[in-house]
Amino acid sequence: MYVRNGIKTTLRAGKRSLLFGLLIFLLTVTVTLGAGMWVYCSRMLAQCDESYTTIALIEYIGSDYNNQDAADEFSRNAAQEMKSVDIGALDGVKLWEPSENTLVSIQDYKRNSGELPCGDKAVLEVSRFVSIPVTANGDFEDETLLPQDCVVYDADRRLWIVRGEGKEMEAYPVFTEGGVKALTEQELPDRYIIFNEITSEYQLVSPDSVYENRVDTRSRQVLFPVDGQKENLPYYTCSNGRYTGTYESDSYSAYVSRVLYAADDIEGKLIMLDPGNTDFKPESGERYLIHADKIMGSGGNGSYSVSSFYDGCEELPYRKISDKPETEGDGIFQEYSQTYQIAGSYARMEASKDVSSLEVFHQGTLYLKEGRFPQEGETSACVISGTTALSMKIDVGDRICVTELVSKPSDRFDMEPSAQGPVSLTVVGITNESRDYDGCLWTSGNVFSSDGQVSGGAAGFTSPKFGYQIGRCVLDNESAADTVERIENMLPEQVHVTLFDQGYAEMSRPLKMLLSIAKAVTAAGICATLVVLLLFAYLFVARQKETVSVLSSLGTPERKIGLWILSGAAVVSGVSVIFGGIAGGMVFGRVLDMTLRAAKGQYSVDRRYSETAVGAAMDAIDSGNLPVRVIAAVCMAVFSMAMMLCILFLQGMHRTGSPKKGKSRVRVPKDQTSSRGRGTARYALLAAKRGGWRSGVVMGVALGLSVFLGMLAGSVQDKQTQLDDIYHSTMEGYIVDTSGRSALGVGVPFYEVQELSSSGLLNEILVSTGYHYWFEGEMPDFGSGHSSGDRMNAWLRKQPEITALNGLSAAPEFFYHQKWEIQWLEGWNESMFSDDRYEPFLAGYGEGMQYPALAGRNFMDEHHLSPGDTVELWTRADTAGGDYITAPVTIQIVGTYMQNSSKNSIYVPLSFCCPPSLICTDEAVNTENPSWMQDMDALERYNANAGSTVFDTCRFSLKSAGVLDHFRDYLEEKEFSAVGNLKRIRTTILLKDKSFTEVTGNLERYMTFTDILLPALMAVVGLMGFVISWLMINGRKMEFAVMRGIGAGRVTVFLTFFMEQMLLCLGGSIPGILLLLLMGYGKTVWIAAGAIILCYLAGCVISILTGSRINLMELLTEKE
Amino acid sequence: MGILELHHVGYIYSTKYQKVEALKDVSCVFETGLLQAIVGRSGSGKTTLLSLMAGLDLPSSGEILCAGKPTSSMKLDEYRRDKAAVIYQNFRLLPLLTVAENVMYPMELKGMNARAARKKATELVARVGLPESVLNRYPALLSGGEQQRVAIARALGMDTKILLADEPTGNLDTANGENIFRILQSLAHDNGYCVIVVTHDDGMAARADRILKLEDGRAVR
Repeated sequence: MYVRNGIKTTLRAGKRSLLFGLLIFLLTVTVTLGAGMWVYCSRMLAQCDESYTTIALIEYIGSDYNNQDAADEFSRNAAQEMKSVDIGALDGVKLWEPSENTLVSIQDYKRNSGELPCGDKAVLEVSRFVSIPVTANGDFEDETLLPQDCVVYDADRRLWIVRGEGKEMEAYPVFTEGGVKALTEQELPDRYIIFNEITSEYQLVSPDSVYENRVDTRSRQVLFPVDGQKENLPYYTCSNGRYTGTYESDSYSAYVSRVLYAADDIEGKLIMLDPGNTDFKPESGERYLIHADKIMGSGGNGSYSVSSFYDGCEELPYRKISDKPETEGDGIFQEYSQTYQIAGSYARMEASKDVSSLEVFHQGTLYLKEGRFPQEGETSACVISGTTALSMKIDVGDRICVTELVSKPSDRFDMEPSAQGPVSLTVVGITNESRDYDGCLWTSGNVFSSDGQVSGGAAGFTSPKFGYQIGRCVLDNESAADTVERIENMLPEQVHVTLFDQGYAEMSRPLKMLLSIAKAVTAAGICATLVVLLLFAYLFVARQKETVSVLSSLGTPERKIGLWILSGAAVVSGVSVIFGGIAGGMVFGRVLDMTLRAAKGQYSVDRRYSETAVGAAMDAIDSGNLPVRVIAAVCMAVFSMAMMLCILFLQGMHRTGSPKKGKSRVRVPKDQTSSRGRGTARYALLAAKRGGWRSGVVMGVALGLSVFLGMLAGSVQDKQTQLDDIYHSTMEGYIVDTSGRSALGVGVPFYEVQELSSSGLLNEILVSTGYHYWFEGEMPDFGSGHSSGDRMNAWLRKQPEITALNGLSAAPEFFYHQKWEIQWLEGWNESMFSDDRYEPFLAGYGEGMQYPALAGRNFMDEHHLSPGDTVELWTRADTAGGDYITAPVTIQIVGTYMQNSSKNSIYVPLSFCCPPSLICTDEAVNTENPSWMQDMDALERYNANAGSTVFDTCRFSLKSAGVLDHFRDYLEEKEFSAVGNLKRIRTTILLKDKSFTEVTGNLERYMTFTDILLPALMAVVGLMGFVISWLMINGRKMEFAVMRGIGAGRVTVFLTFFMEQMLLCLGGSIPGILLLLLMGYGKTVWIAAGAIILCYLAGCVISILTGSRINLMELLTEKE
Repeated sequence: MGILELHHVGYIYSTKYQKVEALKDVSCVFETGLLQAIVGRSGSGKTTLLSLMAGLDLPSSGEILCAGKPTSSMKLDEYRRDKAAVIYQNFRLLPLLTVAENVMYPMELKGMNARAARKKATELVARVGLPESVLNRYPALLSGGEQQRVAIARALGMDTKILLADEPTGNLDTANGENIFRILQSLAHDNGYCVIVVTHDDGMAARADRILKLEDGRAVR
């Protein structure tokens, strides 16, 4: 009965029940969505944290960066220095381990791919030698078929220079070296040629000059000077009226009777053999052991060039063995063949406590196809490359026998097996197949050490460190960016950190944003629910005093009264909560989808050509509907809260039934009667002053809001200023390799740099290009055999470079290391690099030109040079015609720098190879042509040659970050490549926009947020103003009535109340504004405060007008 | 001719659900120098009649003349300020103003400066038998009788000839009630006010110079 009547009574209060039912329904939906989103985002973030691994690679950016086998002392020193840096102790670092890798040999493994350090070496037993004449450029009898310009060497040993279509032949007397000696000096003609029959070299002797020339074995052409000009003339021999592009070669064909070592299977086959720079002249019918280099690019079974075992080796690289006693071994030949065999079948072993987080697996280059990763401390287990496993026919569970190879510090591939001997490892995992990783295996520690430890352990691998990777951290995903920042502050010079987070940041940011929103919505929903439920309990329980009193007077037990009162409230709240929960569950999916998309939209950034696109990203994780238990929990919580409040009010109501003891306190203002002022203002001021807590509330709210909104408005302005500043700042970009990791040695052609410059969006382009140099007399004699060109190239590659650049930060040595220590001669500075007065040596072959240069201090010491000295160097440059120019250049040392690498690089102005203005086609940057360009011959030579200039580094800066999008569009339109996205132009651009994107992203999100928040806050302030002033005024209706009853007019009463509220509002706002002004906030504070005051006063006007609509009759005559 | 004349005054309370005719054709004349009582049962229309005479509203029918001029032709704010002062049963003092300021308020409404108003307020407070020490107190600190005296002082400060009191002793004990009655009587007899008192108190009514009895909104005597 009690329940029935309770429900009936409640339902009969139709509007109230409906209103509260609706409110509870909406709030339940809100809290369900908020809590659901909270649970979803937390779960997703936990899943992301579990699935994603963030690593940071710590690398030394050296001159040969990215070469994992480079023997760089600076890198080793940096690694040594890093041992004192305790990165592992940093918060957020889960694992820190120095990079540990070594070369090993695996029993029965023969390397088929990857770098073969001895792939060009051969130790062979050869015999059956036949001398090979090489034919080229035709073989014909008709003289008219000779090219327009060529050299003909006739049977009478005369050399003819064939000129023009008329085939005028100019004969020069030719002497063999023996012949020259046979003549007296007076008998020599003015111009003659000395011909060396062995080396096929010619020497034109004239009264003015002597030019050395030689046969180029690659082009079969003679470099021959006529009238002081170098020419490149085809060379023919004429015999019996037949013209043959032939020269006598010192090469042989030889039969390989035994292979001690060779990368190719050539046993029992014929090869071409070149004596190289040795005096190898095999005797016919004899057998020889030879040490040779394979000449790259040769067809057939290959061409080999006899080569010394090592520079300065006294042992001859060939040995006649025809009459060698059987008992005598092969000696050094055998020794070297074994070394080569070991080196040729090396494997790479990398050890880590967490193999799965090594870059190669982390970045998805490799993945585990079978088995598992070795666990920490599992020292006799390894994962092996799929390609190797396939070639060795290995399965998971098989064992392999591995020996560590100990490299010499100077050369990784100069190695010998460790004295420790082989160890047996169980293959616990096999990766996918990849030829790039053939011969690779991974272990969890040093399998050759007794304790199996690597990082931080007692023993590392025996070989010294090679390459540039110093170490690797596994980081806490959440704090990775901050941790990297802290790591960066601890690193030595030129040591860089690269963060790879598998896309965690991109995935988690929107989720974190949603999580914050979900928390806020849930908290706000709970607060609002509490308020509504308080009101609900008050109205549905506390206001039922009369019912309670009646029921009580009728002798109804307290418990039954409670049942009566609570049953109605329970029905209203229960039904609303259930429907709210169901509705929340139904719309959750859509709301989640919508908000997630909006959140992702907020964090979506243009990643074209961005450094943020470096590194592989995992597929996004997505899942789920709202779990029923969340809905149930929210429903239970809201319903329980409603019931609890109702019970509390019920208990309170029972308690208030008992008489109170004591007297309630009356707060009394302490002011005296005031006679100051007059009219409405006087009473407004008095009321404001004596308003007690009411005045306090208004002033407090005004103060709080003005400070809050003022700060918000101030910070919006501040952020806008920051944003403007950022957009006006410049941004850098590099041309990088396809992985985006290195900007050195990128080989970007001249015209592509021009293409970049043509965008008109760049402020500066800095480039550098290097030419190997040597001092006169340093270049060895490479002979004229098949391999001489290759050997010369190989030698050249080892020489230091003279680097032409237009800014020192483009120098490979300083590219990642912006602090340099330079001492300039007086009057010289870095601006010389962009000085275009110097004539490119490709235009004038450097004759008469002296280039200012910056040289390393080590170089200066080695060559006993002082600043200001002039040095002549020889250098060689490829030309547009596919040939090259070798020329001496003169430099003057005008500055010295502290070297960061072992390379003796010399830096000269970019105009050494091309005018700086040519790479900046932007009109604003272009300068007038330098004077040398007025010389048409020089210009012609330059144009003919310079097209092939290729820059090793290129960095540029945008005019402002504001043009970033336009620049991206431009790059896309021109089809420049981006990291991981190769396009028509293979040159890969990387924009250093990470911090810009992050900062502007944050600022723009903040601005978007405040753009929405500020008007909403203004509306809320207005509403609050109305609500507060209404609350303040509604309780003072009687004051209205009394004033009116005494005869005060409506306007007087309105003004009294309005001025009172205005005084309070100003009294609260002005200190807030002053406070903010003192704190350094700008004018926007006034705008915010003005907005608050206006909103509040607008609310006041409405509430006063509403409050003043009173019935004086009712109010004044009301009896208590 | 009385200072306040009621001619066939009727008043209807209109609510959403019903209309209640509170006064029906009431006619009477109130004069200065007399203390006149309006009596009747609860709901007979006494307070309604007093409110109409106080200018809180206009009659639904008939008219009220003040010094021969119908209230309907006056601005009610001005009428309340200049013609008729009211003393309520619940005192209706402004809580944020001191006693002196409450008394000064109507004077200042009329344009008197604060200093002069203060002086007059001090006199009036003394006149109603309150000590000067209450002047700076707030109404909440005073007893019911004291508050009622302040209300009378405020009414006197309005400087009107008509003084309307709605059950002025209703919330007071006998002694205080008697004091207030005497003040009102003195104001009528000694100062020539037209004092109209609505009361349930038969004793007080018996001591009035005239009595108007209302029954169901009609004047019966």
